[in-house]
Amino acid sequence: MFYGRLLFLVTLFASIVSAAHAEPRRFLTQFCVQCHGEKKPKASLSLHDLTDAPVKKSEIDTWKILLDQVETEQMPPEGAKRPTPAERQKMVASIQAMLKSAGVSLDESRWLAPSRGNWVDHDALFSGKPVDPAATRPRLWRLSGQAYEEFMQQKNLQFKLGIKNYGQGKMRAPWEFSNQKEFSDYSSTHKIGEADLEYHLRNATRMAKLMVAKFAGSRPSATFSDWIGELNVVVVAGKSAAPAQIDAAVAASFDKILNRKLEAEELKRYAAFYKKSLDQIGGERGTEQFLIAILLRPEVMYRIELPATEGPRAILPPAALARAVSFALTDSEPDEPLRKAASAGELASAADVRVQVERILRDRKIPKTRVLRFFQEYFGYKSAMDIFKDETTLAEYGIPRDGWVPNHFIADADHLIQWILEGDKNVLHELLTTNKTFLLTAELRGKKVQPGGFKGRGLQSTLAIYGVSISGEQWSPNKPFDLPAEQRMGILTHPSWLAAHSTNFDNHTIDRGRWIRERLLGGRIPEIPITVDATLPDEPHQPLRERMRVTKVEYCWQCHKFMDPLGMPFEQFDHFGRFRTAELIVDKQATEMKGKQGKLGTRVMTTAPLDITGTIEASGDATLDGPVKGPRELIDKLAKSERVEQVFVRHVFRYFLGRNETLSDGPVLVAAHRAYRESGGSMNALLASLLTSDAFLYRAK
Amino acid sequence: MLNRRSLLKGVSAGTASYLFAPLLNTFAQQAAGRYQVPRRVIFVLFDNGFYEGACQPATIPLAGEQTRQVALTDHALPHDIQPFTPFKDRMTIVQGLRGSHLSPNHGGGFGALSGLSGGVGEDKFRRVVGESIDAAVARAVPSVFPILVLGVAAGRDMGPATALCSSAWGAGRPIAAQCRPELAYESLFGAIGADRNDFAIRRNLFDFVGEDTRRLRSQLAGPEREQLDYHLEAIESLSRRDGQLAQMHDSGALRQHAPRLPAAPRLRMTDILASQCDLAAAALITGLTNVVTVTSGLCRLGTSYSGISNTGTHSLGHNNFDPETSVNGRVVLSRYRRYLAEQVAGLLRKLQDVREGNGTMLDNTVLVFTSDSANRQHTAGENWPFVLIGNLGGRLRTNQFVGYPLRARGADGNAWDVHGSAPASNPMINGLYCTLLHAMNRPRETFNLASSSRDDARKYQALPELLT
Repeated sequence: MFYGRLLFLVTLFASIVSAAHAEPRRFLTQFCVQCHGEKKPKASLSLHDLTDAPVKKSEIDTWKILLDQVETEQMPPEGAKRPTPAERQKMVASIQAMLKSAGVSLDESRWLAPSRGNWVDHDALFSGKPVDPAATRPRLWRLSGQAYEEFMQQKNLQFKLGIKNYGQGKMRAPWEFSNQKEFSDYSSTHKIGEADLEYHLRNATRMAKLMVAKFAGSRPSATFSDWIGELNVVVVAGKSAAPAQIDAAVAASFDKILNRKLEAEELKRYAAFYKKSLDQIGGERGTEQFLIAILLRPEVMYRIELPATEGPRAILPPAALARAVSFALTDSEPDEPLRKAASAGELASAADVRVQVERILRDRKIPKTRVLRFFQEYFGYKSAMDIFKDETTLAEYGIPRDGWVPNHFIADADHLIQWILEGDKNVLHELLTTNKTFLLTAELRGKKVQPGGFKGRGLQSTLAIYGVSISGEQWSPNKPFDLPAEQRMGILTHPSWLAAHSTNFDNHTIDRGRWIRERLLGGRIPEIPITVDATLPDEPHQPLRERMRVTKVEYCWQCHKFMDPLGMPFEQFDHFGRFRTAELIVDKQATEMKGKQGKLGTRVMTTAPLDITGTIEASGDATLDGPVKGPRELIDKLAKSERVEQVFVRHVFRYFLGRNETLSDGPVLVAAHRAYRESGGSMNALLASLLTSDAFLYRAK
Repeated sequence: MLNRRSLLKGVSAGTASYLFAPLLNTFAQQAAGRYQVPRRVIFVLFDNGFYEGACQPATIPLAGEQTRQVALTDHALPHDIQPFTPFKDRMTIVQGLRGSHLSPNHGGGFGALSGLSGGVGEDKFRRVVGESIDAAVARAVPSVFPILVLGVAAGRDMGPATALCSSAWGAGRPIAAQCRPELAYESLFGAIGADRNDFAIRRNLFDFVGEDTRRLRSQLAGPEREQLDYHLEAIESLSRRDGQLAQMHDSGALRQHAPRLPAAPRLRMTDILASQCDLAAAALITGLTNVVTVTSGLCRLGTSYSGISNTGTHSLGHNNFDPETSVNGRVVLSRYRRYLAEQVAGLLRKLQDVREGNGTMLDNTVLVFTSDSANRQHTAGENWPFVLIGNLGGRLRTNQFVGYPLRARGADGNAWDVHGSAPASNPMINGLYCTLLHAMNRPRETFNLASSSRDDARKYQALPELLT
């Protein structure tokens, strides 16, 4: 009897396991083994005898690679028999389950990265088909370094703590962002680890000590509005403080430091902690511990976005909404009108939020730091300052040693964007097509041009790179200037963008093409396979187009065909961002001759004819596809495209929502795009639409 | 050799003048015969490449068609690593390992210590796709600070306080490098000034804050919960560390032998490097940690090697003339590497000066000295030179040059231009990392195998030439 039951259970278990693992085996047989079988397997990879239940330790890495290949749709390759999306999804789920049961920790968060944003089908998003109501998952979002420092400085000023906001004394954020070509601040991107927390603990301790010193004394003056009298009472009373006094001090401290009221249960816990600290170490040190505890609360380090009520889906509570709105557009905690609206119950609907969003967008005194940062990261032009140009290259290209100052171009692009945002009409189209730019704003804004013209680091050569000639009298920091219209057309021909999407010695045609494919066309480019040595031949005597022959190899061209033809038209410019009519290359013979004569140093340069033609292919918008004669035609086509506008909207969504879009966000994107179009291309209308959307307001499990 | 009392009382630890404090209870355990000698590993990474000529003895040909093992006894070390000469009998120089899968051009980012590719461009500096070797080793030798990562940012100002650049417990779990010596000092030795009550108060604070944070946990799920778990782990780790420091504090060792901080924060890269090496030695000797990673340059190109030259590190890597020092860039790089070797040699000397079991601390230690960007700034990772010093209690072979098949090109009679290129069949740097795990008694078949080919697996396996 017992053995009969046991046999039944064993058989049942085996059949369950077998069913669970039937999928990988079937998939491998159907789609993989033909090329990766026993005999002459491609890439020396045999999958015919891969063990799936359970996964063998020695085969874990192979399964991980298989997972990556299937998940990113790199395998099976185009032209081979390919699985349906559902089959692919099933296979992915099966491999993940198998690897997990083998104890393998998988980096599932990689799908949350900005680089994966375009993997959601564009046409499905804008199809208008009904989907689940949009919402974002309950989440934490680490404050940006700027927002953290703003908070600390605000407390410093509020309580007159005397912390210097510069140099070594400045209370710095434990984390900071570097210039990147990708969105740097998704909610899922950053975690707080031991070193960060320890650093924050030091900041908190420093601030708490200063506050205790302040509140142990008497009120500095009658006009000191942020005096926490209740705290002063407890610091002075120490161990003998009465429970009611402690409760009052706790409530007042939360109110003044974190701008919020406490729940009864929270009040009880904090009061107990405070009381215990007072009993252990007395008034001043006990208060110090209590204040550190407040400053170590998660909300000091994160935006905490949890639904207001229990249940599968609910709007954010007013206080969280106030922070969400404020941190979406600025680096500051909510201002007074936002706080008042939240506490008055006037931040409970999309209409309520719209009032606040539009107020902030309208108010020119409120610095909308995150809006400019969005454009910096979207176009990626701030990276120009990280692309180093060595002296030899400068000399070979005829630029003085101190003549390459990319900061000028970055600052000018910043000003141009802000100027276009002030107009707030056809923002994307303007950015892509204007031939205007600000000039020399980094160096001269707020100063006067010296008599005799522009004298300063790289000023003249910066103007030369732009291709403009103006006198000191003509120059103004407050107005844009026209660049030659036959040469320049929008940010993609601005030296800041061109230099940022270059290498140290060359144009980066692939990177430029990739930028257009991903940021304007919404295309997907798989990650470069690790087996590929992704470098162009070191042949400085050959034109770039010739050196790029290596990307035309069949295996490489599968991906490069989506990038290179889009980047080629920008051969119209060199890697400093100068307009050109011929390509500068090394004269090999003359350089060798020079070397034989013992004359080392710069190489002898010559020119090669320029080919600036390109192609738009498989863009997803048939009206766009086809050859282009040069950058102007390419940009002109892109700037008129509705799809490009939609892809721009997708990126705005990602930046301000701090996550990639999902299919449920389709209606939100459609509405945002409509708002943008109907408002004549207003960025403010687009932001107002997104920041009042369900995706922004609601949280769902 | 110094005895422990004189070491504790008098040894100056270089520019920062730290006084070391070996754990008294360790000595007590040694005396009682209960002491199990810990293994220690020091990783030192630097930017801009480990040129072949910088580590290859001039009297041993770089190129070779077969794997070679040559005793170092009769060969002088080249200029850059000459400071390691007193340790030559403990040394292994390795040429011919590959890291082409890591795209280490301009710095290998997290790939340098994990042997895993996080991608190209910015991805390799940001994406953490798996465990790094220093973390894998740290798991084998737990201590108060399971791993101490010390960063040295390039440039002339304060630089970042912390940086995520080289090390990780696993995918998505980077370990921060402490980049400011005074802050690292505070982490390591801050407890010295504490009184008995402070630890209890801190424990109380961590418990309360942990509870506060945990309340959020139930309202999150999936990756968001993992994000918070990482935060909670940090609180727990700080609390745990405090508890262990309290025990050390009770023993009196930390209080009695408080190291002295430099009077002013270090700003030049050379000074920061010196301080970080002093801190590393102090942490190892006091038993605060058994694994240290020093990453000079934070696994990518920085601004300048201030203290040596203020010219851009990138420009120097291009061998441009440096107007400040009136030499070409490669000479400046050579000075930088030598300076680094001097500081690290100083660290090794301090370990050698401390008796442990029947020998010294250095007998149970290995130094892994390499660049995060293989053999030069613009590299395809076709050769990744390493210098190892120490035998980890006899588990590693030493006093040898190990050369895997290697072609040399671009020589032109100038040793600095020699450029090694290993065939694709050579082992990857993962093989060396796997070897370390074998030496630590934590063998794995491969370390972070990233190839789909089973033939390739052997390139990720332990290197028999290095093991005893």
